[in-house]
Amino acid sequence: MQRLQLGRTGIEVSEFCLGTMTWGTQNTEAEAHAQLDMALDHGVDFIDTAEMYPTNPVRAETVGLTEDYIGSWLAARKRRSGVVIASKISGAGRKDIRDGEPISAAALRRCVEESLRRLRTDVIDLYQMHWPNRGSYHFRQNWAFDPTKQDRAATIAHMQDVLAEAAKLVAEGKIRALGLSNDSAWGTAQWLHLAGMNGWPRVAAIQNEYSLLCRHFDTDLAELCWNEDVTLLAYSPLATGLLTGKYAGGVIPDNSRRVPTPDLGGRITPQVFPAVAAYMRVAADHGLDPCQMALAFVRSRPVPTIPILGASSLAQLRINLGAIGLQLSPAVLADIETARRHHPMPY
Amino acid sequence: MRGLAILGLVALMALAGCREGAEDGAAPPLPDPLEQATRDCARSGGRMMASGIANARTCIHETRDSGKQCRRSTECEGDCLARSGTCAPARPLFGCHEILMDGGQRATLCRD
Repeated sequence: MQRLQLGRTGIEVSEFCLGTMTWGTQNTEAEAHAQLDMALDHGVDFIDTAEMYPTNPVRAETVGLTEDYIGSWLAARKRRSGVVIASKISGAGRKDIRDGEPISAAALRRCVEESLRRLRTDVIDLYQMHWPNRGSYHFRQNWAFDPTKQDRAATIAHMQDVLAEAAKLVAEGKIRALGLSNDSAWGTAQWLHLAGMNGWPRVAAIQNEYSLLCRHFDTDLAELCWNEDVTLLAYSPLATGLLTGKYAGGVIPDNSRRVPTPDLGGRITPQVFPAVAAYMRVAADHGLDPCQMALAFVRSRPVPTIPILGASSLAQLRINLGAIGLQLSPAVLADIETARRHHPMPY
Repeated sequence: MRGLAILGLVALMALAGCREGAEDGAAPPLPDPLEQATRDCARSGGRMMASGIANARTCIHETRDSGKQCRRSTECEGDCLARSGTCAPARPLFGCHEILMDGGQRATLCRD
């Protein structure tokens, strides 16, 4: 198992991260604990969760439940050392989470305290802002993205407030590092600049969607993350299951994500199934499991990238963990590149 | 006219006095206490950080036993954090924390 450092923090994590957002909806507490045990047994010691989880669906009454499950596992196994925990504060605008409250210095502190209580721990290793208050182009909002309503001065003032509070939380030992999610190159650059100017915590990681089917990261953000040592935590590296091939032909298997979210958050488009078929063919031609190929592809990217593995069953998780150590040959990568050029940006 | 001359002489003497005082060197300017504290802190392996409610600059030391399992604070360089049963990452630790005290009793400790 290769180990990577998160940004410049010195925090070392496994090259894969365990996702948790199905714990509390598609998975029970016992199943969550079994997934944690299996991941640890395979050397995956990096766990990502969020205030908002579980998802699909997100409900006001289940906010924080996934963190509760992780907390009960930490307590039951009597372990905290040897596990790196990442969590997130939700951004503005969701009625079912803190009544839509935006991120602020006060909200940051309150949410850290609440997450610590649910996780039954004293420190969150990486604390991320789930999406920016100012909005973002992620989750298919790229099709109609319009930043002209953003107020630069207000955004900068907000970043200063939050960074100053984050610095206190780091000094208090409640968080070790700060991260972003669903952010942009401009936003990340501002967070980094303000932190550098004032001695506040530097953004260590950005958690954005990245997979064979979703490659927004590859240009401006890749350049920024490389030059500034910001690690990409890639969510939906299997494109919410599309890259397993299980949805081919419009099939909706029981207990899959297409049951609660039939369009997979805007990912079901006329272009997507031909693209999936092309990648399935590459995997078959080279005798690879399509999930493992998709995960190994994310790991193969030149800018340090850690895929977040999510699974709704131990069987799925076992397959995904098989990607550990898998290196794709130049021939596979060349075929992937050809497929991408034939099927650019399927959503 | 005579009065003006006397006034001028007094002023000259006063200026000369000032110059002499400066040339004598007298006491050097006092060192900036914050700079001194920052130097001392760095020498002891710490970092000056704005801490607590007052945002006062305080010398914070990262602990070498951060994350080590503990049952009481005597087992740690800093505090023993109660929820995880691990040694704190820094000392002193500001803010409110649940800790295990020297005798192992659980308590909420707030440092502002």
